[in-house]
Amino acid sequence: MAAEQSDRSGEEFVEALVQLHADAPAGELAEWCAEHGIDMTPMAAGALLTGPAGRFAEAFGERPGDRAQPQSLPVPPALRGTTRSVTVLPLPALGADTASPD
Amino acid sequence: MALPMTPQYGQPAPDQVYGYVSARSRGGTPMTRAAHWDSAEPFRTDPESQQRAEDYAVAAGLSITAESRLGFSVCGPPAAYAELTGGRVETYEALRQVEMDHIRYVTQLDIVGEGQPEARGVGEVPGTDAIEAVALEEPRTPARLVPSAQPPNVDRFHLRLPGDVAMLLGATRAHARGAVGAGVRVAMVDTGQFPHTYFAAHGYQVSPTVAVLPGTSPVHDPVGHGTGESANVFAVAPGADLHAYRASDNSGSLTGAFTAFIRAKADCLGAKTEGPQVLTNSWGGSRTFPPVGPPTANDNVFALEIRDAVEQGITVVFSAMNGQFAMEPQVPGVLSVGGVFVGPGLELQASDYASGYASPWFDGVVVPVVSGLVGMRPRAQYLMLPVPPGCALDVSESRAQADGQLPDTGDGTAQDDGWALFSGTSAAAPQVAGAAAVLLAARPTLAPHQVIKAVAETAVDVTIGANHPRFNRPARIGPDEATGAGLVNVDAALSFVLDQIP
Repeated sequence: MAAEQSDRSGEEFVEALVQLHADAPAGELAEWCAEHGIDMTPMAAGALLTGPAGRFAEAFGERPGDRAQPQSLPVPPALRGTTRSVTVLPLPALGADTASPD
Repeated sequence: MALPMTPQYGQPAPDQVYGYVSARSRGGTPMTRAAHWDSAEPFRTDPESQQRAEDYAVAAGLSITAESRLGFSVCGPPAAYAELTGGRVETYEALRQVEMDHIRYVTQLDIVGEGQPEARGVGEVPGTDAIEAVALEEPRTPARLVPSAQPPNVDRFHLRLPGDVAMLLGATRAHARGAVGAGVRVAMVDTGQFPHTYFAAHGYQVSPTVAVLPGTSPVHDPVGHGTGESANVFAVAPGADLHAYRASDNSGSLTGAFTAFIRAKADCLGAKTEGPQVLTNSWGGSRTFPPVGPPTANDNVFALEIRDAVEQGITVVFSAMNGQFAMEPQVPGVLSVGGVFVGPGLELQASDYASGYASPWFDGVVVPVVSGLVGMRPRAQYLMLPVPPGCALDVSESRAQADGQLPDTGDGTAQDDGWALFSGTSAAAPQVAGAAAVLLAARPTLAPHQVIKAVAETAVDVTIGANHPRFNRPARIGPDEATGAGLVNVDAALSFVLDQIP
């Protein structure tokens, strides 16, 4: 009876930073992300996009890599009026000696 | 230390709960209240009552898994049991004698709520005479063992939590003055937070974890890093309220660190009226050192997000990292934390495991601001920390490391005992976050720069040793790039706040 709430295997999770043109509103980006099943969080500067790698591949026409290095994604035509760049963020490291992330 | 008999961690009930429904008996006494066991005959039901009882159970959302003359077994989600009984399914831990004659906590379930019986593991169904009781399946073999709340004894020199860490950071005297960081929210973005018995046995306040990645569990920590390092918060601030944010995916990679930071920041701001906030982070991006140019555009964006958190009154703590050069601890206003090693003779020296440098990107910024307790290279196995049994750190730290230099025999703990010896500036950051919590509990209106001033002005200067060879900054008299202002002294910082900041 005591089966734990467990992790489910899932698709790779992607975080990407969006830089907007000066004074560009984020509303258009938010609508576009919602249409493509990507979450958008406004930030102090720009926005953070998150979601499964497959959604990013469909939306941007290019699959995010393994997040070892920053990776620029092509800005879709629908966003060119507001968005300057979209960059997949590299994975951070932990501040301890671990066998995994770093 | 006395262990609590039935601690509750508030972890969610399993998706599927197995139970048993006692249908109306011929004798009129529910099976749960049986006082004589010479015959089961009085507890048999009749076909009509059995059918009605099954109809109730199915209508509530339960599935019938087997039938007998006395009742039937069922399974279903906790919500179905709630629908049937009007109560709710909750978890608790109970000390049980398990394999190899060990006594351990084992997770149990109970139906609680208005009108439900005091007896554990059973519930009543109001509104029908077809069902006399519902009994939840009890684990016959331990389905989930939680590890010992007491750390194992190992031969090598190390520090134990909370006592050693509290003493060496001057927190013990602050605690004696009643300063324990009570009520201060300490948000921690890391790999997860496993409900280790260590936290319950000490009575620490751990709020339910927020798992930011879809499909990840809030009670799992595949690496053990977040669970272990969070114990450092409580060693210094036992009254703090820990809010853990799991940023790791199911393999343990920090794929959601930025997301978790933004979420934790938003939650801190949302709860600002409830009290002061600390946001501690034991991770960072690894960049080339010395850098070939200014921060990247992406670094700028995230740096501004961090800076914005500071400007809104959140004390943001980042580890200086362990040989890595990261942007996050350099952000102006961040309380960056390096490492000091305190040896068996209480001698202090800069940890050669920790990063430290004058920021090439931000004028006047030195990383670290201050230091916490960190071990020495090669592995910094220094603090005995609670981790999920069998997690990545539990296994890796217990193994020998053959790196071409001196053989290392591992930390002396078992691979699955839920304890591991490690540290890094990952440990120092939550220690200093705990120090900030103690100060903020005493003076809730302190701004982040006042917290930094208090811990830096009162830190114990460290004048021996040098930091990680990648930077090789020597410790000197006065502030330096090896340990910042030195080792945090919580009691002195508290006095500074109380005496010098109105």
